[in-house]
Amino acid sequence: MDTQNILLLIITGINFVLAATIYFRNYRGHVNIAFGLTIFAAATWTFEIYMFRSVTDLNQAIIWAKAFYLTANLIALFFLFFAISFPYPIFTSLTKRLLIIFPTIIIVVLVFIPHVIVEDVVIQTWGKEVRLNSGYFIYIAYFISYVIWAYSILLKKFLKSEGIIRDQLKYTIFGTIIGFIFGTIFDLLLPLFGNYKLISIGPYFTVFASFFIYYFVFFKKYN
Amino acid sequence: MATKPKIALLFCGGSGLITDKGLLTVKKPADMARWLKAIPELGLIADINPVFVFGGDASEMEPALWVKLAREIYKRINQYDGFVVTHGVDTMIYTSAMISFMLQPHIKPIIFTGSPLAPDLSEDKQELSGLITDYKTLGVKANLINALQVATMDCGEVGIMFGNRLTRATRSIKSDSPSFNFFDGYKDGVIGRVDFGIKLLPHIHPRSKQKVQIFDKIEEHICLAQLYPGAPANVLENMVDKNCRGVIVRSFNTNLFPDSFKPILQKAYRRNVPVVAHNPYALDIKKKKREYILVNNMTFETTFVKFMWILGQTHDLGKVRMKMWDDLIH
Repeated sequence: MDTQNILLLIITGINFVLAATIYFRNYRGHVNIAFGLTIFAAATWTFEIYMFRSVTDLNQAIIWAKAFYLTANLIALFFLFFAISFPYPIFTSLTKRLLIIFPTIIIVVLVFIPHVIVEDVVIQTWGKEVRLNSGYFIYIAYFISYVIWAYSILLKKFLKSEGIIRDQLKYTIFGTIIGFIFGTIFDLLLPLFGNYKLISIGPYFTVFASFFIYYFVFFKKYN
Repeated sequence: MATKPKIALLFCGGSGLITDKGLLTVKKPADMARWLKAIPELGLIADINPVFVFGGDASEMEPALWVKLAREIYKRINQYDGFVVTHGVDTMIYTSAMISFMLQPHIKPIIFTGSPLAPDLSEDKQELSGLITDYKTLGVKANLINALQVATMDCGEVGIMFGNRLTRATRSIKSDSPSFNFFDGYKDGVIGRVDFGIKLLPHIHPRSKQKVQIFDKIEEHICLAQLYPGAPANVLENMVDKNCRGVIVRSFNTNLFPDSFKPILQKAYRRNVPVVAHNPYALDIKKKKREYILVNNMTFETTFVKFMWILGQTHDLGKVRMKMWDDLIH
């Protein structure tokens, strides 16, 4: 097993542990559910990238490629729900919540329709590459707009905040934004320009979120 | 909840809010609209109905205001999902504990919170300005947003939300020094924490559908004495003679009273004036035939308001003794 794959497995483990910790710490809280799901999706996405890199059969590789595109799509959705509910909920009606979910369902369908987003997988000298189709532009637009939407909510809350709420938002925004920026660059934008070599790098940055959230939950004391 | 929760926000002091234009407080009913406009976040979380009770400093709180507050909550108890009360920090424990006794059983959240900022001083003149740099301000906003969230949760408690702690009103104590958390919990008094989200701890009481009753009679004429080496017994005697309807003595730990106090205690007993010996570290055991009532399992503030409240219900010494020892809440 190469070093990059070992790192992917370690990061998968770290993120699964963080997701479980956050969820079981307060399994009835909307914030913990939404963030637990976001980190769980990040862990699953990392594992699917590992599987994509590991399998030798091209048909299996296509399935794993579609799986990690689907899961990345869910990261954006769960993170948006997290931004809506953290650190205090913005009341959203059921209709609004369904409208938020609806584009995600469309993207899920597009991922699994052949030749819309994922064309095929080809073997290169350095490894496997997913060839993407024109539907990928819709995918990118969806992902980036959901993430920007989520951060705009968090930043608006941060600018108006004070006290402990300001502290919560500071750690969360700083911790998660690193993962999103580098994940977007290495796993979303570089593949658009034909560079698929570096897709294992994006998941490494998700550990920053783990580090900051662990620190905030377990080590930050208020005296 | 499918619809936005309905919360009554009662102003009872402690409403210091830092805005770009300076400190904004609610001192009279007309201030409420402008104050609420400065925290639009509240309207995102719940439907807020403001109620003005009192706009002065916490040191001005008095029993008549406790009764007024209890009645304002009681008449709305069936129309709202929860209640948030802003209150100055100095007497917040007394008020919240008294509301715990006056409105029973606790079926919905009644959450006290506030700002430590004095209403008449600008922020840079406050003694707490060292903390202000760390958290931007010490205004009521963050505490209020957290209190409001608790008021929408499955919580049937009268509590205090401050800093990152939710404490049960009757088990709240003041923290040792001015800090981000002004209150702490005494004997499992912490019932919730803010870390990532707001977590209600397992020993919190959930909401229920029982009928709430109001018990708003209290005895205001109680006296307080503090024992110290050489304390003269006639201090207690004066209190008994001067129509105190009950006396609380902050006593010693092992031998609660010096021998010189014993005749005065017997006199108080004969005159049907209950004397409470309060010391949370007292090693004495409770005995029904004593001339005084030992309380060693409650905070001073809770002992004080509980005694006032019980004497409002009865002056029978035996009943007062048993009620002081009973866990009257939940």
